[in-house]
Amino acid sequence: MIKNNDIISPYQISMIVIMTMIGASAFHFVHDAVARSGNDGWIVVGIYGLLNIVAAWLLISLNVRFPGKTFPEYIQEIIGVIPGKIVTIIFIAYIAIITAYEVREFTEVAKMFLLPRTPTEIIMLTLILTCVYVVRGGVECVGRIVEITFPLVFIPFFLILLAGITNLELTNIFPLFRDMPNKFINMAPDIPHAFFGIEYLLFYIGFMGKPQKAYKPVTLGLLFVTGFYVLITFIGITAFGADAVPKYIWPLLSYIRDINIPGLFLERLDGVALAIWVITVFTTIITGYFIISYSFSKVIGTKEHKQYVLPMVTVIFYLALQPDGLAQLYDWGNIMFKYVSGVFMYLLPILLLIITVIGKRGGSRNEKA
Amino acid sequence: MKRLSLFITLIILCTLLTGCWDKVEIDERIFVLGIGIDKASEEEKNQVSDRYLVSFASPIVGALKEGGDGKVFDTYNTAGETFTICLTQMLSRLEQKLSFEHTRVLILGENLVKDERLFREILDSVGRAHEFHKSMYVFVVPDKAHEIFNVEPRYSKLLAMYIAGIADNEIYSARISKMAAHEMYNKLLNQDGSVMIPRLMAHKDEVKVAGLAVIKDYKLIGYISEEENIYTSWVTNEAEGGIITTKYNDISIPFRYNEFKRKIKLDKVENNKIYITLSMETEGEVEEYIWNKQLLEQENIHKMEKQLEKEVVEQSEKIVKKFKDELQVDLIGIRDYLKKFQPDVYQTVKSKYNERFRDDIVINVTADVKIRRVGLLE
Repeated sequence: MIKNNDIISPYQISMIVIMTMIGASAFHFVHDAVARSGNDGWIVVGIYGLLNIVAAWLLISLNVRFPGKTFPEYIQEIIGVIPGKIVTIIFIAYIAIITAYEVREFTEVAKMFLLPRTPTEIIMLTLILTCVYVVRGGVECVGRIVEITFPLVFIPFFLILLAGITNLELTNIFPLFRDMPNKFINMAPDIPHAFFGIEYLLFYIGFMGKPQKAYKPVTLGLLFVTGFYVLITFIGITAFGADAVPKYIWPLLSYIRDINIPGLFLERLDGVALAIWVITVFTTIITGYFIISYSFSKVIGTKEHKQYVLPMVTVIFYLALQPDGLAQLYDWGNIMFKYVSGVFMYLLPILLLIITVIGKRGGSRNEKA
Repeated sequence: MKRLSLFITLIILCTLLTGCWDKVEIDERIFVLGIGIDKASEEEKNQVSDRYLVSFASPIVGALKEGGDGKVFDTYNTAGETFTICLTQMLSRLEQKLSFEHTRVLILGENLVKDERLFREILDSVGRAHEFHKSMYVFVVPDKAHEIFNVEPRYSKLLAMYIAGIADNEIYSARISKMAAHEMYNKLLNQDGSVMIPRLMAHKDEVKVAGLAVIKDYKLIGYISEEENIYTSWVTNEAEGGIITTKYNDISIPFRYNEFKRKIKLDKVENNKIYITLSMETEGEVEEYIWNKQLLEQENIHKMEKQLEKEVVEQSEKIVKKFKDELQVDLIGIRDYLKKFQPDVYQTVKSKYNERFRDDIVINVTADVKIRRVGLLE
């Protein structure tokens, strides 16, 4: 079913988790977290991050029952061929929309800071077309690109964050633990937005040699992502104060922009940060894009997915062009991530897991028995 | 044939796939080092609708390279209805493009800061525009902001760098205050539209950072004098280094500190009144006395410390009184403290905070001064 060379390593799985989840939304995320949960936002995010690890374990335990198979294949075993194909199509549509969302959000920010005169369409097309090249290479290529880009993104990014450390006012995190239940409830709808990407595991774990080896790398990957979100939320709160953060659309970017390194040739670091950020957006798009074209080929029933990659450009491009502007993009994104993401991230996998367990389906269980 | 088609493809690729819409070469940029914003007066208006007078100071790169005595920076003034219009108008008068990546100072004229509406508009446009970064220093000028740029500093060539350099001296003298724009924005948001912005005074061939402009509800309500600036930085915990002078045995002794800490403590809440203690802690050295008299003696030093403590308490109480009774706005960080460390108490005073600050918060000051060193002589 899967060609011999289409295998990704446990390390690559954890990189896929990290590079998918940390994408265009990372800058805006701080705004959401602090707007909902105030000065305790970083604690709330951390705890939700840990809960998402549990959710990811559920996804993996579903996958473990079908070794060597990916979501579009085993869903047909669980709920039947035709319903399986329909669910897969809906899933693809959802991933196409969030991929387009990423493309558009990135384009809006890049256009404001870096490329004010470059047409939106050109920025989007170059971004998508670059991804096409990677996605055509197959899952191995995707795995390798996230593996290579991970240190390229995070080492400089942490150095940049470090440079502004004198702007932080640590007492801003006080008072701690006030009104926590409300803060948790307020934040809950925004959690799928921050942690979307775990549903991608349904597709990628199937490419692993031994899916049961996925627990550890996925847990590590999610711990990294959680740590990263906690760090940037913490920086946002301490740099601006809990009341001021929600005034900025991209608090993290504003924080980086306010850093002043005296006497350095590169006096402003936001350009560097944005350049690095391009890569994280790029990898987020690639992992989503691969799922779209791969699943599509499974739904149609062809062996290869390559031929679908290029035509898909039009779909993503079209979707990305739909919002009128940043305000509408965020409105639609809120609806999408609040109401739809949760279904694919938590509800659908749990449902499938229940059906599988009750119906005693799935290969590995039989092997064990 | 194959080679030819390859060649043609390459040529076409080179011309079609390269290119950049947003390229601005470095010699096409004018680096604006200082921005001044004023409310436009009647004679400065070109049109009736003009509201702002914006001035830019930028270095003349050629003159800088040659050295010499000529003027090395230039100022451009432009009036317009909104800030962005002012920026765009400059394009019709210059061959280059304005670049704000290296802006050092933002200077606001008094008339602008007195006008709540205009001040809020400027705050928004500087905060919102993506061209600006917020590590530049903000100052308020008692008269017109653009007049600052007419000063030809004696020792320094670039005025904006000169001003920024003075502001950086705040670590040695509590008389000087500096405020980066991002601090101003954070304070405005966290203190309900009140903030203190350093005041800049222009003289013929120098400028002086002296005193603070007090802004309450986005409006200038008064100034803190240069002298009071010292005490203000004590009570706001922003003092770093400086000097306290006192008389001991009829001899003036300057006590130089490199560290000044202010701590707030809530003592009690009684009868709706909140009792708060500000405790000042500082340590430093005395390097001036009178010839042939001994300074290095614990008892002497102890007495001196007492004297200095008295001075600190006295002056701090005076400035606290000024904030409470005269300015009626809490800029000394009591609100911040209550919010962060006494959230239950803060809930009770949250509404109409400034009135509660004036009437119901009782502030007591204590001081602890330590003379650690006395210089080279005994």
